[in-house]
Amino acid sequence: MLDPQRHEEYVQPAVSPELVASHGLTTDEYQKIVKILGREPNFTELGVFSVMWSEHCSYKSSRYYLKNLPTEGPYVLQGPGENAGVVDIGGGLAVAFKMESHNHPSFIEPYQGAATGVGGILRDIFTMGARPIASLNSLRFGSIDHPRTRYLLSGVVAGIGGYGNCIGVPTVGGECYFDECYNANILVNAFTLGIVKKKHIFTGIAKGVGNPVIYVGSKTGRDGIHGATMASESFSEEKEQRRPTVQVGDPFTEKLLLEACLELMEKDFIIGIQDMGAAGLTSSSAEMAGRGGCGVELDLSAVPLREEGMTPYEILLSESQERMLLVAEKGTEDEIKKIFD
Amino acid sequence: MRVKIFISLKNGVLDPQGKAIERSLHTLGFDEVQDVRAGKYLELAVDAPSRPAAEARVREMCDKLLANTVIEDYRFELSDGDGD
Amino acid sequence: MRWGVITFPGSCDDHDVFDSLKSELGQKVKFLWHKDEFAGNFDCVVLPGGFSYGDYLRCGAMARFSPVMRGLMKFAQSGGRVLGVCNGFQILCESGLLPGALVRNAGLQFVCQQVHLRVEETDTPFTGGLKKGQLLRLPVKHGEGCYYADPKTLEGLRKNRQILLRYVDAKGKPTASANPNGSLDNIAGVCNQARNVFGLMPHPEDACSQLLGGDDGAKIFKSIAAACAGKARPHA
Repeated sequence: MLDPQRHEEYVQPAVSPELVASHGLTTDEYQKIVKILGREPNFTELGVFSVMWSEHCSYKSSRYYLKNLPTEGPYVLQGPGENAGVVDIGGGLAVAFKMESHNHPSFIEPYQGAATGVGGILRDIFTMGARPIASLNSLRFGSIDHPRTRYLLSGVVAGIGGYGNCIGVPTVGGECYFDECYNANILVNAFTLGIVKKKHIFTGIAKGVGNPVIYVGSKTGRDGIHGATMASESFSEEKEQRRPTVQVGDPFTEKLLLEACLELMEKDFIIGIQDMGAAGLTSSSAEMAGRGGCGVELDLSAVPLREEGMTPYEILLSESQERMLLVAEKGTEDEIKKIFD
Repeated sequence: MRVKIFISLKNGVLDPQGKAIERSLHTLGFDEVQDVRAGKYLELAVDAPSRPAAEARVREMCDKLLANTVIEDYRFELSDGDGD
Repeated sequence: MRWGVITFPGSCDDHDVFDSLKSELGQKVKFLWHKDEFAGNFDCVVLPGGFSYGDYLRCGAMARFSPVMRGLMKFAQSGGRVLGVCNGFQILCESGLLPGALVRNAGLQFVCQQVHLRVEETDTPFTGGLKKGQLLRLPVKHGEGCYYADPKTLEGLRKNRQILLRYVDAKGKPTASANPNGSLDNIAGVCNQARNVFGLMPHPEDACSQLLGGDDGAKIFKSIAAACAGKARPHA
């Protein structure tokens, strides 16, 4: 747990132009932050803005191309903006599906990178209330005779298959190409499809003032915290080993989470639910609140931690896997706790 | 007391992992390598009044859960240290 | 005929077994939760495939200590019929209800394919409706399905005719290439000496409908149902 004593002692590093640059924010973007807040952001706020405005969370550069894709139609029940899209298939049933990339993590650690990519996409599907039934993938590797290709290929394939298998969701197909243009930048896209009763579709929304915000799943560690912060000097005093930036998947926990969530959804306790994926607690809470048009109060000292001495910055930005945020009806907390025990 | 437990497949039980590692070592030029066996290594701390008592408990743990004695052998080392 | 299907944390095929028995074969089925005590009247209890407790120490190693297993052991020892599929087979071996153990596939790879099986013995409730030498086609999907037993145990299995299924080729020959995982003596499934506990790596529950590619799996379930209808459970 976060020691309150230490918590008070924790002094946020000063926000310097170098720190802003190391967070991947441009001067223009930084000025926008100052305008929104009406003051300079502190270190933690800087981290929050940087992940929320990163390409991974905001699609700021790919949005232009994504706009060209069709998103509407008589059978579309849920278009972009939610955890996954949903299409009506008749008979009171719908399918929820989504594809997401996990390119960079897979290049660094192919097995875990690909496995956690599958884990993330599965969570996006079952947060919609759907039971995942099949996965697909689309892969691009470097030239076949490139020395790293064999290592990356076998790791990615094992990671995708292994995670899906442990959860009980088969990988039913995929496509794979090799070209030297991918030598230093492989593409790993995971797709999952789930089936859901039309009247049982859930979304990631936070609403109803006074309703509890509940954190379920694994504990929060220092996994996957924004790479830019590794370089920042502010942590060097703590004399820690290099922090892990690669998230490690635990399909067993995810399987339990899946069954517990689907069981919970059978009851009328949940208002909204979302995976803590990229940018973890920050993006899940902000996106849920944004959709509901309300605010969310977070008590970071109540977040279950895996490691000691984690700073607010780290808690907000951690990308530890197999975690979910849900907003429930007031008074159902005990019932929910029972299901997740 | 700190305990280090080593679990390996019994001689005679096929060890495809060990075989694969051995082949890889050979391809890397470590021709002198033979008899690779892959196993498991566990570390744990136990609170016990004496060394023999700790040994007896650890043996029980191994027989009951940590090793499957149908296919696996185990051995362990005890060392003094904080039991927490 | 009342069936029970145990759900361990990490079970994946519990719903497949449940649905096949209920929808395809019209049987009465109930789920049993791993944390509950074993309760109820059952003619046959199925331990399904999956990754019980994440299979973190060894496949099936932790599941055998679940509360529900205590009652299941008694049920089996008093003659109740128990079927373990894949991870269920691993749990039965770990718990000592079946001899031997399942280890990493010889090829180190996960296998997911259709296999041919030869029925070796028919004087059990699980194979009573089949013919000796009959071929079945079922899917396998596992990473640790290589059956192992020490020479003495293997000798006992042969002598007592406890090997019920072997991996064979399409002509019914137990060749090395027909063996998907390196199992000793091409063993795909064994029963205990009392012949009321049966474990196998292939998945009969995934082969109960022609629509899904075959219904040879249903033949095993039908055998069990017929055996249970024919006579009450011994010593129950």
